[in-house]
Amino acid sequence: MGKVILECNNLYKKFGKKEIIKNVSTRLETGDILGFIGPNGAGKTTTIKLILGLQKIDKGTVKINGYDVTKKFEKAIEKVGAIVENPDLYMYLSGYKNLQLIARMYKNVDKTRIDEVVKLVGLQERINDKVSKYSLGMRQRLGIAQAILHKPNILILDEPTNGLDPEGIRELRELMQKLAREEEMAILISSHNLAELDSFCTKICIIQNGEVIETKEITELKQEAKSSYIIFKINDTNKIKNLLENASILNATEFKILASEADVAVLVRKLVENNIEIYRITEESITLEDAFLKRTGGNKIV
Amino acid sequence: MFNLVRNELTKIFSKKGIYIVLVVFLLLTSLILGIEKYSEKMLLSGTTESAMTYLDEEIEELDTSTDEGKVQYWSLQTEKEVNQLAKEYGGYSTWQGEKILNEIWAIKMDMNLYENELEEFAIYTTYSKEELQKEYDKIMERINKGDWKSFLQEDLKEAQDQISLAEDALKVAKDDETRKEINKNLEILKIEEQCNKWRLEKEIPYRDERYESALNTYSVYGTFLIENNYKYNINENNYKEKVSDEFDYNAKIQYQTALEDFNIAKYRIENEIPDLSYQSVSGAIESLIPNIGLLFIIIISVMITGTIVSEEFNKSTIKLLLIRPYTRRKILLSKIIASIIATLIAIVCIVLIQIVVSGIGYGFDTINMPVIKYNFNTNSIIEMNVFVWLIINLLSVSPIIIILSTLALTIGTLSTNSASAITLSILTYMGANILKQIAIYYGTKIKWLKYIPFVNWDLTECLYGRLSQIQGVTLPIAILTCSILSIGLLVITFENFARKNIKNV
Repeated sequence: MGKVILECNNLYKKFGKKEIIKNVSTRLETGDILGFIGPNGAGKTTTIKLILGLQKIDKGTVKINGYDVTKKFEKAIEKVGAIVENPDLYMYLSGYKNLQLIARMYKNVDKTRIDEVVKLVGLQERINDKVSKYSLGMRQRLGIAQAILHKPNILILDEPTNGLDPEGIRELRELMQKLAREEEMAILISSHNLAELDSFCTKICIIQNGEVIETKEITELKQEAKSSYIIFKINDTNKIKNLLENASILNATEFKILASEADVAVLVRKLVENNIEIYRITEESITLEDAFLKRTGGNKIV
Repeated sequence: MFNLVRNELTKIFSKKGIYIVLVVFLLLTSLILGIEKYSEKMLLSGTTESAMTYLDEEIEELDTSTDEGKVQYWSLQTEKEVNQLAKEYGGYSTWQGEKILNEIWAIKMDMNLYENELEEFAIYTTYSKEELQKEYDKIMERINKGDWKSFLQEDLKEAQDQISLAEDALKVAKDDETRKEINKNLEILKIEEQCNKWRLEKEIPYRDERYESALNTYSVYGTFLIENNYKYNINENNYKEKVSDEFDYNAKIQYQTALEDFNIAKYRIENEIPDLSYQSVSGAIESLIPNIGLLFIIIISVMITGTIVSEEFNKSTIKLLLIRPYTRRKILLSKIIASIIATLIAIVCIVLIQIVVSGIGYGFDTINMPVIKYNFNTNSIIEMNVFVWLIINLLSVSPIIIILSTLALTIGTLSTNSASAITLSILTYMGANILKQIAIYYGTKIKWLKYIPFVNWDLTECLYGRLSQIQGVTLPIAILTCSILSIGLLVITFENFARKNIKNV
């Protein structure tokens, strides 16, 4: 167990009469990469804004590094790096000037650190160009540079993969993993696309209609996703109705059943003994997404 | 905090807006200077030319069969000749021109009439043709010799003769009413005498551009003041308190203006400080703020404060700032401090541009001309360096700049819309000018108008004990109401900024 860095307790937010966030709680420790997943409008960005003090919290508390964000804002926010919605940059300034502005707001950031971060995000060659001339991917990278400049111990990224090409997404993943491992950062990363995150997140938090539906360790989830259902294709599924009680029939020629490898051998013999023709035996594959689809009641998370 | 201010300044000066306005100011001042120089040249040469062609056209249209037509013809012909003569001496703006206009013209007219047998229309009927010619030659001789003093001595003597006549009349005057009238006339005559004395003593010929306006002001306003003194029984010490139906507030303001100009003119002549306000760097700086300077300062300051918060919201960059280890109040405060610094820098730039442009036009040494103001509290003249005046002037208009830029900041913060913040503030400035005119007309009837900051915010109106154009406005009232408004706007802005929710895009 690492040190607890971010702790949200029962966050609640209303806009007019509409409840946007209903009792959202989550927790981040050193080295965690939390994937914050939900469809558009689920309340991801709002939650992040509540955490960062950009919107007023109606009920509940946010503690970052032990400081309450509403009461001790300056202390709480000091070691937070974030990109909310889009990387916000001053278009009329150069990339370097943008970083310099941020650097001046912290005590521990000097010129060498700026150069180091520029190198880390791979913008050395274009850093003195005006940001208005940057591509979206480059802006995204400059945004990350801005967020990690002051060596935060928690990084909050809102939809960072927006506008990135697959290569960019891969680079981003590698960077995130490196930061989490080497700089002992906790990372909160929101996305509406689960497939992008499942390969490197350590934790997943599903949010829908302002409510957290599920928080799970990724290993736990993977375990769950491994269904160990075996699908049999046979000549006629009517024949097994009385034969195999716990099989579920999919269609006229297919059924599936929960079975270990040893069970499969027993099942095959049983089917053959009953003169049932077996055409194919396959293992049912299930993705993380499918696992979640089941939990969110078929509401697709894309 | 220091670094926050530095960041804000970096942002302000990385944008093009201010530079564009400064360039426009540079072009405009250069243009104004160019027009001034050009029109000066036109005055010297062009006027007589166009007058001549006009006269030629007039003459062609005349019907010379009647006597009247003939007189008309010769009157115009004389004008042409006199114009031609004056042109040889540099036009009517020289002392020779003045004398040709005042003395020669009538003689020349008569001479032409005599020559063409129209003598019954002559002005000087007592003179013969030969006598006229003699008189003409005599005057021309003095003009050619450059002897303007002889003319002056004549004028002086005439004034002194009139004074002794009036003094004699005073001795035999029976009632107070007559005595009073004669005394008044005596004072007015003495003004005239003084003007002529000064010209002789200080070698100021007629039409001397250095002192002509001062001498003119001295005699016109001097007469005006004396007439007022006798009519309403007032003087420079009690005119503010004196209340009567006739000497109303408007009359007081007029009296005050005359008093100021009269004393300044007197001081200029006595101390030999020529009025070169239209031909010196010093004059250009003195009139910078009342002319276009203030407008440009307002535009720049409103551009800065109107965008400094709203643009961060528009471009979403506000989030970058608000997730830093500073409270929102500190961030807003740093923005306000940066705006003040940037506005001051812009003011310095505007002054420098004015110095450079007018310096190229009039020579940089003219920067040393002092500024002369009148203190109504002590009834004395204040002479100061132009930069001292510039600072006093800037401080006096600072309520305008502060209120408008605070207003822009407030609107910008509340609406997060830069365009409306800037436009509404500039419109407020224009509207305030209209409101001020209303207050000048109705200020005597509607007493509370003086408490409106947009009416009383120009402190130059009541500087040095001057009566403001709007009745009842005094320095304490103006400063107090303007401060209340600015602080109120700032409180609204701070509270709004500190509590603002950053909406989702």
